[in-house]
Amino acid sequence: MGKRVLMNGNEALGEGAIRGGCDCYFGYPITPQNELTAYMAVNMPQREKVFVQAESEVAAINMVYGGAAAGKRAMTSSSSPGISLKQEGISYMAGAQLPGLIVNVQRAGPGLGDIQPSQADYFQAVKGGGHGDYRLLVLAPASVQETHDFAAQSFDLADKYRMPVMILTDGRLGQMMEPFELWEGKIETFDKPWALIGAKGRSGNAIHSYWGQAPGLEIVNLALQEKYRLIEKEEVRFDTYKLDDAELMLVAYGTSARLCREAVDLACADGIKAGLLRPITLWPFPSREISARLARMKKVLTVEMSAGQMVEDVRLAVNGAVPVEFYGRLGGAVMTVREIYEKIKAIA
Amino acid sequence: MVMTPVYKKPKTLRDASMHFCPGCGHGILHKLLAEIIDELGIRERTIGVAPVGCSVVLYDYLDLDISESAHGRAPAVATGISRCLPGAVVFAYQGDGDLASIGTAEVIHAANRGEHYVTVFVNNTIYGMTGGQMAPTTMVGQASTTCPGGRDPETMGNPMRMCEMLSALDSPSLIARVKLDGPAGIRKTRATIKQAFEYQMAGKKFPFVEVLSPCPTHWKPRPGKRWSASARKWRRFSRSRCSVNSACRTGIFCCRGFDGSRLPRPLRSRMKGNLTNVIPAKAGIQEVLA
Amino acid sequence: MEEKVIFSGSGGQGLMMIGKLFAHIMLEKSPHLTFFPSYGAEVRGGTSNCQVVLSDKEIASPLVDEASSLVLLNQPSVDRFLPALGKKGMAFINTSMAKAPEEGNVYGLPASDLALEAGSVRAANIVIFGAYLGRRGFLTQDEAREAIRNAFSGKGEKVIAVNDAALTRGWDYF
Repeated sequence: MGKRVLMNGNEALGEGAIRGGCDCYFGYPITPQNELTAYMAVNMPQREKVFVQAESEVAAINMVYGGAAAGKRAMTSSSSPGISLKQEGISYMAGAQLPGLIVNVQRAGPGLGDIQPSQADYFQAVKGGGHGDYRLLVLAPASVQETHDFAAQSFDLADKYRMPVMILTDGRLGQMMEPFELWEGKIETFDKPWALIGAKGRSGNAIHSYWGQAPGLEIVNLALQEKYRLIEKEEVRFDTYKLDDAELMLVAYGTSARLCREAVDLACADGIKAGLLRPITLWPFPSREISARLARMKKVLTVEMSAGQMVEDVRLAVNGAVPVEFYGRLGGAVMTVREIYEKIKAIA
Repeated sequence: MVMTPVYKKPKTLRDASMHFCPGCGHGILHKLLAEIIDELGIRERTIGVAPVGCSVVLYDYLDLDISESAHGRAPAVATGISRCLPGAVVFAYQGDGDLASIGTAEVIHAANRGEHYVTVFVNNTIYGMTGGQMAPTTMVGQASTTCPGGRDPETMGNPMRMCEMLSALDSPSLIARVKLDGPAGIRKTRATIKQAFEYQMAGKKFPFVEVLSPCPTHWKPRPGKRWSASARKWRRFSRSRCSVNSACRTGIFCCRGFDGSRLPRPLRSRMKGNLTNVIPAKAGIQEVLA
Repeated sequence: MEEKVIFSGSGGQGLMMIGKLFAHIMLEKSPHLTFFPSYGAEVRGGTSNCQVVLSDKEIASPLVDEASSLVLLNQPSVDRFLPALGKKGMAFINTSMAKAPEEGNVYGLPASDLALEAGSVRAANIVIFGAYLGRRGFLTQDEAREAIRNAFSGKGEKVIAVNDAALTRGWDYF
């Protein structure tokens, strides 16, 4: 067990990424993720790693592309509007099969919106955001401990599958301080024969997503899809709480899952058999894990700080077996435990 | 009889037939790069960054480690690579739409940070790959599919002068404009790019070479005529001399605009008065147009 | 252990500082804790506040809906947060800068004046923090003094002495 320390989620994420072997960080200021950039500005150079404040979000993600092409563990972080700007670069990374870590400390939109926490970037993170048939491996922490741990583990996942990984957190998880234990796991090392480090004794490597003509590009796309199917098989992560004898399944991730957990306690104290399934990987989504637990369920309730985005994936997983209800707050508003509890009572 | 080879294909040039149009400058420039990299013996530690545009498949022609980059983002990709590989020789190859339009912010900030990579900026005054649209560097009066009546500075602005713009910054160690026009021009281009690589290898910051290059396809030569109007404009520009050339002992790139017009008066007078006011003394900016 | 406390005042009064300090002090004493700052535009407006939750079980929300303690340094903070005080809660109000209603669970003390007596008006946050810690009993006075000494260790003996005196004045006030 590592040392117990107290930091906010953004700083804990930075420390996690460094412990996970981050070689280079490229970022641009945006609230509510600035503590992460500031943490990296101090701690990356101290450990003789690369830190660059980029001139734009667009430049930052393309610097990540460059660092990753050079075989390094590269990352950037931003918040919702900034992540929108990065989408082209993310698509290029997916196309060129470059690993890397992108952190979205979600704030409220659309547009400039507000700096308050939100979960309205689910579609963007999980369904694409950029152009083309690609996926990101999306991790959704629900505590500062998980934020830290996932950051540390994300580079291994990214390198293993040669793809960008996104950590989807939010303003509340980023700003909140909470004790956590420092990650002291082992970093895996991956051979990167494709990396651009100088063509010593070999022909030149090329990193690219351009494939000229359709047949080549379709083959590349099919290979990507095959990789995604493997990830769907291997990498689904989720957590359950009081689900074993539940008749009402709550599905929520991140900040809203924390709130649902306490709401489940309140409901159970009232004799309502409620439980929580918390997706940790938003892609791959725990669809099978949801559908496998429907036999006893009378209803499913999805709770999100959005107008209802993940609920679409929940409905696909439930596939009409039981009614799927939704409760959400929008535009930077965060529901209270009491609100969720009232919703549970209303539908149970 | 013993035959000694007097000329051979550079080792760094792959055995591939290029897709470039007849008369295009890219093919010449690719070969020059290969020759320079061979001469300097740096093939095994050179990383190239290709743009989006006609030269997107640079990696098909140069046998080096090369990364494609999103349109205009080559400076950011090159920054990422060179920061991560401090011992490497990194160069970015960018066209005029890539560098001077969609990627203007990236190149200016990379230059300002003094990133350690060479820029080869190929300016053919037009978007080639997309079919001949107006570029930021399209000359006044030059026609394209998106300025069919010729570029009108009233509504379309004047051609961007990237060398002049970048020379306002303190960090770049070398800013030069050369042309792929005639054997002398090509030789100068080669020497200048080689110098830029040597600067980079010596740890000097952001050497930048603008290469004026022809686009015979989209300059639309008319049947029976050797040069199109665009080509005539380009040649006139590429041959234009610094209006204060006699004072250019330290060397200065072209003091005329693409349309042959003179620079605004204040800049001219500053140049005449004291060149070091205009160009930082440490920057080895060159006039290689002749 | 269950504690939900809001520290609030105007920007610059050092509320974030004592909130963070409190969180760090309680790191080893409370199984679960959260610290949540007000951030963004709110910071530039009326009040600067932060909220600390201590609990024996997992904490769902770092935001306090019903406060068990309030530490309020100015009038806007009193106006905004006093309604959130739970029935069994305690409010500590700086009567140098705000009116404290006369209710059983409201503790008014002239923190700014006491801080001036201790050596600097800037130590008002430490005075009221001392009063809060003294009434709440999470730690002994010696532990509190030690924590203050550590928090100001980089600022020189004079600053430490002022803040130590400020803590004592607050602690001993009630």
